[in-house]
Parts: sequence; C-alpha cells; structure tokens
Amino acid sequence: MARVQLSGLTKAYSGSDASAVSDLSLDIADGEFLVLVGPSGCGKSTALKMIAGLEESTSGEVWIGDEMVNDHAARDRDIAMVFQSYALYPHMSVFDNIAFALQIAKRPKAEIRERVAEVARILQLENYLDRRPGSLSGGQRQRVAMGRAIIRQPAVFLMDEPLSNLDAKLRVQMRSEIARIQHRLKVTTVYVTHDQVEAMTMGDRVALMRDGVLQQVDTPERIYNRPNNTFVASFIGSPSMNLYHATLVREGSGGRVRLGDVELSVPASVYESHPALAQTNGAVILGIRSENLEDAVFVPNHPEGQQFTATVTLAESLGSDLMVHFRINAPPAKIVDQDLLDEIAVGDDFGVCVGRFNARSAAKPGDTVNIAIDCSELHFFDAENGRAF
Amino acid sequence: MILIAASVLVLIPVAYMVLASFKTIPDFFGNPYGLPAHWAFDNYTRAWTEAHVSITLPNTIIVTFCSVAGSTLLAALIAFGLCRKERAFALTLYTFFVSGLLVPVQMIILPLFILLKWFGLFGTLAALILPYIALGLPLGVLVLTPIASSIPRDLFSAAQVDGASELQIFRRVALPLLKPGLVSVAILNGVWMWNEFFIPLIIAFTPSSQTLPVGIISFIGVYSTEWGLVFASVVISTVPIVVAYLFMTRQFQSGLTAGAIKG
Amino acid sequence: MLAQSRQWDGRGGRRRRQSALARRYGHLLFVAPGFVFFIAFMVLPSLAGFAVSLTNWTGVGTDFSFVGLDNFVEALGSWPLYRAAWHNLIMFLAILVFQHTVGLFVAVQLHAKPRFMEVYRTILFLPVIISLVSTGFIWTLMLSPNIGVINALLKDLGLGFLARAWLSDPDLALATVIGVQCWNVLGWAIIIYLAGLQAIPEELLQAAEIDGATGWVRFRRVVFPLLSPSFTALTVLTFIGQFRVFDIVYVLTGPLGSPNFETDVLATLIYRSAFGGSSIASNDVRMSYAVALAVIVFVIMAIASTFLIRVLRRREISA
Repeated sequence: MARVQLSGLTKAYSGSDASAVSDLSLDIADGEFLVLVGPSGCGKSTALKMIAGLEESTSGEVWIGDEMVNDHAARDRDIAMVFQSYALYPHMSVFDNIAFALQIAKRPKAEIRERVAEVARILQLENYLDRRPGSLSGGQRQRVAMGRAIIRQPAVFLMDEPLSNLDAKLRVQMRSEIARIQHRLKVTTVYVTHDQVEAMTMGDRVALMRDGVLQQVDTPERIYNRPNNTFVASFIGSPSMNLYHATLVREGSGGRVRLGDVELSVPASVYESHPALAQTNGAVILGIRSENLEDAVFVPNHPEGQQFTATVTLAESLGSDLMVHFRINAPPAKIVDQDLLDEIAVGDDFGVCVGRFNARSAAKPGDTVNIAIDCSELHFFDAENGRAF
Repeated sequence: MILIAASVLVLIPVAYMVLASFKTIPDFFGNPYGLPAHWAFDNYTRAWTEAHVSITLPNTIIVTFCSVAGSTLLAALIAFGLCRKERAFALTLYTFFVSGLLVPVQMIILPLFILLKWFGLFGTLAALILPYIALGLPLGVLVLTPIASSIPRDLFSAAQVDGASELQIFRRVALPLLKPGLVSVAILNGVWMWNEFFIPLIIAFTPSSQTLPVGIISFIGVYSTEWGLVFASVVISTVPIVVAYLFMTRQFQSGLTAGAIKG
Repeated sequence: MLAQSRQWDGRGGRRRRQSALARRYGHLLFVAPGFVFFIAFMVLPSLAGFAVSLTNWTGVGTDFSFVGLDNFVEALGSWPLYRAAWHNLIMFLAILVFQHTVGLFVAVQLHAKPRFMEVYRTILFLPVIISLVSTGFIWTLMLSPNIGVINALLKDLGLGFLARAWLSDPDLALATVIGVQCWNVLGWAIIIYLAGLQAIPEELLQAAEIDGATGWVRFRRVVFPLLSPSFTALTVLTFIGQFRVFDIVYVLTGPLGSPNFETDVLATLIYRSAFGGSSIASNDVRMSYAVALAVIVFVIMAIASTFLIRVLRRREISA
C-alpha cells in the first residue's frame, strides 16, 4: 500500500485552450479514502486516468509510494481500477474475469482458485462464478468489478463512478459495502463521483474540482461547514445552499445583514470565527443552509432580529421533513453550472429559498409564514470572487 | 409459388452438374437431360488421376487454408492497431489498406509474376499464398476495424490495469471479441480464394502448383469432349465449399453480406 | 506491505519504464506484418505496373524503352477499348435492373416468412458460393447446341423453333452471358434486400398502416425509401463486379469474347493484350499496353465508384 502524490498534474488537449485538468496537487495518505467529486466534465475522471496511467499527463508528476510513475505503463503501477461501465470481459466467466490479472501474472492455478474463492465469498459471488457477465444483474456485475480489483491486493484502488449505473436503492447498499471493504483492506483509494452524497458519506477526505481546477480538499465535515467558495457551498449539500447578494454592515461587536427587504442581525460569534469578516463593509454573498431555516412556530423565543416573513411557493414533504420554498426579494448569486437547476431564478431580483422545516409545519403554498433563521450559521462570501471570508 | 419456381431454377443447373458428372460421352448425345443410362462412377476416379484432381484438390485446400489464416490474423492485428482514431496514422493507414479494394488484379499481376520469380517462389504454393494474404487484407481491415473500434475502450484499459501487455490484450481480449468478424472475413476471403481463377491462371501454370479452377480449365484443352470428367472435377471442386455452406449457412450469408455492404 | 503486493502480482520489484516512443507508436507494431505483405504484394506491384505502362516492354526479354504516355494515348484512341467498355456497361445495367426488380421481389416474398423460408433462402443463395468457373461450365454444357439440355428440352416440348446456338449467335451471345450471370448473382440481391427489410422497424410499418397506407402505396412510400442502404450496396457491388467480370466470360465464350468480340469485356481485352488469345500471334502481345489498359480501368472505376457511393449515400435516410 502506498501514499499517492500528485504535483502540478496538468492535462491539456491540443486544439483546446482550456485544460481538462490544471495544476492539480494532492497528497493522499497511505490507506486514505479520498473522494474526487465535481460536476461532469470537471476533469476528475481525467485526473484518475492519469493516476492509472491510462492517460498521459501534459505536465506534472504522479507518485505512488516512493516512485515517480509518470513513465510507467498502467500495468506496472500496482493499481487496480473499477470502471463506471465495469469493463467486464464479456467472453469470460465471472471466475476468469476475477482471476484475469493473476492469470496474466502467471500465478499457480491452485493459488488463483483459492484467492478467487475468497474474493467470491466476501462479495457473495460464489454461485455465479461459472456465469458470463451478460447474464448477471447490475449489482452482481458491480460486485464482479470490485472482485477483480480487490483480488489484486494492489497499492492503490482507483474507482471511476463505480455506482452510477446502479438503481438508487442498490447504490446506497453498495456504497456502504465499498466503504466497509476499503476499511477492512486499508488500501489507499481514489474514488471519483459526481454525487455529493457519495462524497460526503464515503470519503476520509473530499476533493472538489471544477473546470479542471481543484476547489477544496478537506474532511466532509469541514467542506460542508466551511466551504472555500460559493461553488463548493452550492455543490455540497442537498438541497444546495441558498446564496444571495446582500449587504453586511458592522454594528458593535456584531453586525447586520440586509437581504432585500429583510434585515438580520449577525451575532458576534460569527465575527469571532471568521476574523476576515471584520474588514468587510458592504456587498457580500450570503449563504444559508436549508436546515438553518425553520418555521418560527417550532422555535419559541427566537431572537427578534433572526426572523422574517415570506410567502411560500411550494412545500414538498419528505416524511421526515417539509421542504418549503419561498420567495426572497434579493438577487440570487448565480453559480454557472448546468447541473444545478435550482438556480433557475424567478427573475433577477427574486430568489427562491429552500428551508428544511419540521415535518409538522402547516406551511402550504400561498401562506405567509414567519421563519426563524439561525444566524450563527450564516456563511459569507466575497461578492467579487465568491471566496469565503 | 414464386419462391418454389426460383428455387427450382436455381437447383436445376446444380442437379444437372451432378448428373452430368456421372454420364458417359454417348449419354450426353442420346440422353441430354435424363438420368445417366449407366452411372459412370469411373469419371471420378479418372478425374482424380487424369485430371490431376489428386494434386489440385490438396493444393486448393492448402492454399485456401493458409491464405485465410494468414490474411485474417494479419487483418485482425491491423484492426487492433488502428482501432482508436486518435492513434498516430490510424485513419491514414486504414484508408491506405482499404483502398486496395479498388486495385484491379490485372494491373498488378505481371509485376507480381516477376516478383515471385525473383523470390524463387515459382511453382510453389507460396507463390499463391503470399499474394492472397496481401489481397485479402483490404476486406479484412474494412470489416474488422469498425468492430474493433466498437469494443469499449474500458475493456482494454481494464486489461492494461490488470497487467496485460498489448499482445496479451490482443490475444485474450480483442481477438475473442472480434470472433464474429473473424468468421465473416474468413468466409469472405475463403470463398474467393477457393474459387479464384485469374491469379492462378497466370501464376500457377505448372500442374504441381495448380488449384482446382485452373486445373479444370487446362484439362479442358486436352480432353475437350470428356464432359463427364470435366464435371466430375467441377463437382469435386464445388462440394467442399457447398458442404461448408450448408453447415454454416447463417455465417456464410451474414459474412458475405457484411463484406458486400461495406465494400 | 508494498513488497508483499508486488510478490502477489508476480512481477517482483521489476517495473518497466515505457518510452514515449513506445506509447505513441507502439500500436504500429501490430500493423507492421500486414503492412509488409501489403507493400510487397500489392503496392510495389501496382507501382511497378504503372511504371511498366510507361514503357514499350512486351513482357519478355529485357529490351524496352520509355515511351511516356504513348500506351495510354493509343489505348484511349482504340476502338476495342470502347467496345469492351460498352459491353461491361450493358451487363452492368441489365444485371442492375434484374437485381433491383427480381431480386427485390423475391426478397419481399421471403420476408413474408413463408413456410420453409430458411430452405428457400439457403437454396437461393447457393449460386453465390459456386465459383464462376463452375457456373460457366455448367451453363456451357446446358447451352451447348448439340448436347445441351436446353435446346433438347425445347425440341421435346415442341418448341424446337426457339432452339438457338446461344453462345455463338452474335445477336444472342451477350444476352446469354448476362442471363448466366443473373443466375449466379441473384443470391446477392436477395440476401442484401432481405437484410434491409429485416432492419425496418415493425412500428414504422404499423404507423404507416394507421396512416392509411397499405399494400403497394406502403411499399413505395415507406418500405422502399428505407431500403436505400441496400440499394446502394447492391448497386456498388454490381458495378464493381460487372466492370471486373472475367472468369465467366473466359469460360463461356473464351478470351476472345467470341463470337466476333460480341462478348469481349475490359478484363478479357486486357488479358488478351497481355498474354495472348488462342488466335492472336504472339507479336501482338504487349504487356506494357495491357497494363496501361488496366491503369485506365482502375482510374475510371475508382472515380466512378466513389461518385456512385457519394450520389447514392446522399439519397439514403437513416431509419
């Protein structure tokens, strides 16, 4: 097993100005589960293929263990990969698919049988070893692909959206299974996905990319609670963070933020945890997570400056929660991203805000409700460049 | 009705060929379309010796087998090498090979003749096998390259990660997946190589290296009236390929059509 | 741990470096063997052939000189070339019409999935795999004026007045050669059109039916346009086949395209010029002239088939 280091990794295609990956540096500890996440086309798969040796880098270095592997072919990098399409050999039985790498390495037959049997047991594939991949269900194929990777006992696992072809229920199940296997084998893993839920639940750390550029690498908690910029803030979390142009004014030890026709007080604790905020006076982007909004009925004695009223446009019940959409008279901060359709604005001066209310809330479309907001959990970003304070 | 009529029209000449091969010379004159008055089985034994079928049949089998094997394998290697468009020269080389389809044999036959003489291959079966392999390549490349390109590249990547060398990827992953195409190409080339007439007519004029179609022709000159013998030879030359066809009708039809539609 | 995993995959600590050259051009190693064959037995002879066409070499001896384009000028100004090409053209057109009518009609019958459909299909495709040489022999004998089955049958049916010297009558020979070829190539048309018919989605026909199109109208307005890929393939195949035809003419009417060159085609003309026919004195044999003819045919065919494919592809629609 090994540490994986990327330094200044860049992939540029001829005839195109923008790089698929630009100047990517990551240091992945031995045994760590790192999730590379981002919208489609952000370069995460290209980055993974460069680690695998399936794609050449334009510049930069890839280190696996204590070796620079740029000039090593994929087969000499001691890696195993799980592909989005599974890439199972259709003409081989499940047994041969799993055993292929060992057969190529000319391991003794008895050893191959033994190791395939063990892998099949771990993945509950014992009854399918004679079948061809074509006759397996999606979930079974996925497990064969996993089996093919883990039988190698490689230095590094590389997984390229391995769950995206499964239906929702199976995906949740396999998610925990992969995490469990990785935990047990303690193999350094780089896992690519576009699904932020997978990123948050599986990774020791999450690396978020956009347009080939690394935005933030951090633990799931920190990337959720302390996003580096508006893109990270809107990408991580579901529903995504509500973001508006607002005006922040210092007032005593705290401050006030004006969001359209609403004014909220910012407690001193926010300034203490975000010292850079003290220098700001004026235009900011305000971020509010939906769980920090609540029907005021359920929050008795909420401070006066941390409430406002709004008209409900849509209420979706999830059973456990009630997702309430309401209009806020402030321009939303647009994150240019086709994947996030939430940003369809109601005209430029209005934004839709989503709050996660108690399921017993009676809010319904057309109602005007009183909303309590936890102002100690507000996020502030620079209005010019979207960076967090 | 139409189908029955068409089938009968197709079958009559075939049946006639078989019947004629059992006829004696007087029979042809006295009894043109009936069954043979007496079955002249010795047409076959005489064809075997006097018409040199004992030589030309094995020759044809060897030439066809070696040429088909060589041509199909080389075409598969080329298809694998060129199956990714972004590879250097992939499109250029593909076009280069495929354009060989347009070259008429008449244009190359004489230089070929000289070249083979120069190599000292004259009178050997290699004088047919080597050009056949080359002439079979355009169709092979034409049929196999798109099939190779349609193999998901993740499969090759997976094999790479699994530690396979390029040659191992070819043998263990690409070749098995090309199999339907290989069968098509083998049939396509095999049929013309078995039946080819013009090239061996020029190149293989000694009996020891002749193939069936030419053997029959040169035999005609000598025994021009011995129709029974001629047809025994014709039947012998036709039976192997018809038997193969009847066993693999589907593959023949789809294989030949694949070549025709792409060609 | 690292050492252990390397041991597992059997490579020890030995890791190969891969040069940029191997990465970029490694695939050409797979192309190389075929390339060598192709160059040696196809490209070099082609170029040599072209070179020969610029000389006055007869094909034997070493006595020759460079004559530039003389052979081409002579060939293009000679009557036999146009006569032969005309015969090729007639054959092409006649067989083309046959394929697109009779072939299509039989394919449609087969597509209706009658009983024994597989049997019919197997039989109807059979002539395609029988060599043209064998086909030629079968029909030579069947059409023979004295011992042939066809004239004998006509006489016995009381239709003796229809008996002809099929292959030696100047007015009939070409038509007879065409007829024999029809027998040999019908299978192509059937199988290619059948594949096209089977590729038409069932819903499309049902939609046409709902729109009120049935029978002939449906065939003409919906089915036939969707068969355009088959039409293209068959037309191009017939074109290439008919402008290269040699074996069957050679067997049926000989290298002279007898009677009186009525069935002479480009390939027999080239053959005769290069290797002589039975009645041509050997001093008429001029290899360089023959190759020049072959080059002309090659150029014209390359242009024509490219053009044909272009035009036909344009009217194709993808279903």
